Amino acid sequence: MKSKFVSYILATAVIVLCYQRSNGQHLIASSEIEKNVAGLHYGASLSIETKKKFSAGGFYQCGITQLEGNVRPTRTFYALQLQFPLLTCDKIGIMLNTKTGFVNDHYLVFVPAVITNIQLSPGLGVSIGSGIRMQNASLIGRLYLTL
Amino acid sequence: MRNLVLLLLATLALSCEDATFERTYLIKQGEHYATHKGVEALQSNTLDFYATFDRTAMYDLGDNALQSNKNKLMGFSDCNSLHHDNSARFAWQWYGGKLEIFAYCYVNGARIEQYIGTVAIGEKNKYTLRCMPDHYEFKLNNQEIVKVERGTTCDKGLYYMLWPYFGGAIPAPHDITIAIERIY
Repeated sequence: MKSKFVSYILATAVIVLCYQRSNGQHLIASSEIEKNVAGLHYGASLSIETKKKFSAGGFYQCGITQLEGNVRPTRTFYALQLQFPLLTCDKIGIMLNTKTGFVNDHYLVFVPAVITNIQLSPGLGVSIGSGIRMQNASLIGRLYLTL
Repeated sequence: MRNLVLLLLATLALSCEDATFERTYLIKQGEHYATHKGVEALQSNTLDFYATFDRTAMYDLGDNALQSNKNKLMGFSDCNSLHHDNSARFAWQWYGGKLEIFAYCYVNGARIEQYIGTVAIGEKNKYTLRCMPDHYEFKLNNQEIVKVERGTTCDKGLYYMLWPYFGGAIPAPHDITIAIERIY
């Protein structure tokens, strides 16, 4: 059952990659650090980006805390991530980034941010941005790979 | 350029933790709402904060019934409910020369008020409000937990924050300031 599921995922990934290559789309994998009023949160996302720099994908984030010597994730956040280009030129793009999802499995949250993407090489880029989290400004740093 | 960006990311990763945020809420004379009342969704089943009342929390409305109207401190609406349907808040009143703290909830549209304790003017006190599957837990400092039943709501959805509010029926008789330090 498990191997069938993995095969299905791999087959889907191959089809998506072939499709997006033929249509000028990209898969973007990223890891992210967010400094917000509640502390540091670490995240990762996988998105598909169109030729016009719109992107949509899944996002996961959590904080890390130590409780009785054990490292545990806190404030886990699963979200749908959408990104809209506000201004793009050459290797720099300013994007409106929104994340809508659930924190701790129960609490619906919407997180808007403005992100500046800087393409360091054809496959690698970094982003710096600022968002609003829990009514306060947050600082976001991201490293992304274009697949 | 690349080095600068990587340095910024490293600085972000190594920056120190700061998981509290203090804000002073002002309820102006003649108003119910505090000056700060933005939209925020609760992101945990526990709302923790410190609150400090100053001498502006002392007032005389000249009528016992009005004087016993509960002023709201802070809390949240329950899952996808309006706050007059299902919500939980700490409330306060200046009554009989004392600053009294209450649990103030709406449960399926019915209002429930439960006395928790008294606090002193100028004293910083810790308030904890926990949303459990079938009840709310209110805790003031290390006092005994006060439980209030929870209404029938969903458990996955929007829980919006509720901010300081004066009243009851009568607006603030003078400017009232409350310092609240959220613990995240």
